[in-house]
Amino acid sequence: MGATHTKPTRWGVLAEFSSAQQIYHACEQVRDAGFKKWDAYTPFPVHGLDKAQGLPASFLPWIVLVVGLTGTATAIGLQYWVHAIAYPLVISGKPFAAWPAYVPIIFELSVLFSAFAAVFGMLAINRLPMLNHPLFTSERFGRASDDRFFIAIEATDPKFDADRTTAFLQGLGADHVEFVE
Amino acid sequence: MSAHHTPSIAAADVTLPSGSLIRKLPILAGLVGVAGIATALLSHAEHGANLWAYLIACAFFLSIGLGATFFVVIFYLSRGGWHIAIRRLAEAVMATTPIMLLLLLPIVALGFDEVYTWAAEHALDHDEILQAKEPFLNKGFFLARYGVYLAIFTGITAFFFRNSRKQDATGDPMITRRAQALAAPSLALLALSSTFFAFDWLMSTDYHWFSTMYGVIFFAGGFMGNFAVLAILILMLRGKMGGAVTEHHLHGTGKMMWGITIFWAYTSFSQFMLIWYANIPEETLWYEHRWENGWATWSIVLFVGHFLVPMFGMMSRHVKKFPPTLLAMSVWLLFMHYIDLFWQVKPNIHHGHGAPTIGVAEIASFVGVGGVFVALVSFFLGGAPLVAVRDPRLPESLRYEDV
Repeated sequence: MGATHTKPTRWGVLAEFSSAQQIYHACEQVRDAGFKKWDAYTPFPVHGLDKAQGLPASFLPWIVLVVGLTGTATAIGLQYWVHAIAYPLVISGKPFAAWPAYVPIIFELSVLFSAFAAVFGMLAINRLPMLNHPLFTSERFGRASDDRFFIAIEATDPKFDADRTTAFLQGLGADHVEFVE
Repeated sequence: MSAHHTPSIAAADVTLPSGSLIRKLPILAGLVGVAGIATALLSHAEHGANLWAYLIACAFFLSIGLGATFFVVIFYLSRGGWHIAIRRLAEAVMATTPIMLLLLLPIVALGFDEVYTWAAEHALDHDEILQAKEPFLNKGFFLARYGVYLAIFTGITAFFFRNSRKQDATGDPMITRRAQALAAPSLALLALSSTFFAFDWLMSTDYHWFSTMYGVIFFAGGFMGNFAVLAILILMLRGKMGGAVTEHHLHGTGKMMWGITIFWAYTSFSQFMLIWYANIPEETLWYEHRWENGWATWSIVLFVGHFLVPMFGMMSRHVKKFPPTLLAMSVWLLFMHYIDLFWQVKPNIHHGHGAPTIGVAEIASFVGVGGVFVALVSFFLGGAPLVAVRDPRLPESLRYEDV
């Protein structure tokens, strides 16, 4: 079990746990040990794991707010430009800049832009789509989508030390710890 | 994280002691209420303006009671779980509904035709629109419908109120099942009766005008007001609720309140835009009356204060979880809900010439009806544990976590 030899091009270390409870407490320990470049992989959402991992609040809402307000501004600008500047046309006796008529479009474009910002912003923050990941070289990692729970700590983490990190993860109750190239 | 530990609350820990302030409040607030109502009803004003002020105050508190009834019924219907820890507070507000409806009776006795001018002598003469509406809009049928609303509001609120208390003794899950089964027909009856209540008692004060959106706007305002009152009650009482209420319940209540302000804006704007677009004189006149005599300011205050301020002010979860900001928004939105009803009803005095003045009658009515409301809510809160301790979904609510 564990590391038998070392290679210089190591990506990180992968620890396997057998229950949600175990990984929850293991995450708290990894967090408290001060690791930064690491993540947890579970077959289903584990309630509160983000707190156990010490993840900061997502930046996504701010992207959605800014892009959503851009949608609002686009709708106002587009309609005002069309109706009042580019092609002024009297419609049922209303003024050219008839704001009540703009509101449905303002609402629609705000929602549309927000939805796009939420979906594509989420993908961008998660760096998706990603065609491959070093963790896929692990034989055991496939069970992350079945019945096993994993923690992976990357070698680029300032606190990372091949032997000590391996021992640390084993000490947290991991069933199996391996290096990922 | 342990799945085997089921959290629970002891009834004795969450029952208000007989000496507590809330248990004394029914008498104190009741006295204030009676004094306020007497002041409002006995002060005489031109065109019965004191009765109009009293109508607005009654509609305000009734809409909140109805909002709480909708809340309880909808959450049974949807098998909701997170709200169980705070449902008792909503039940206390819900139980005021039929009594708030009864408080309207002085208007019938003291000057019905001053508020509902369609019932005045000679109103029908030379008025073809009113003649066409007369089969529906006559005093006899109006009061008969009032009786139906009273029966429906009493029946539904009494059933859900008593049913929930019955479970405190037995914890029988069938009691929840029964409430769930009756929630669907109750909701249909509530929706119809509250809509027609708004048509009868509020919209008919301008009897030439009509809007099919009126009922849903009345619902939206009251539903939002219910969450505002609920948030205030939670903040006042959570120390006495055995740790059942967490910041997540505050967040949940705040989210509902915030969402409904947007729903209110959506319904109110839908009514406005269709009338503006069609530009038919008999419809646009209603908005014209809310744009002259100084009402334009209040129209803008509503748009800003009832929509833009909560929309951006309550967007952040921190505002909804932090007690002082949640309290401030709740009080502000209750004020806005009053202004909404004031803005809907008051301009109709003297055929569209009512002025936007908040005078003694408005304040006395609000304090009076509000006093009775507070007395009733505190009375109902004192009668049972503040948490539905044996509800089968309580553990789900106690564990409720909201990101």
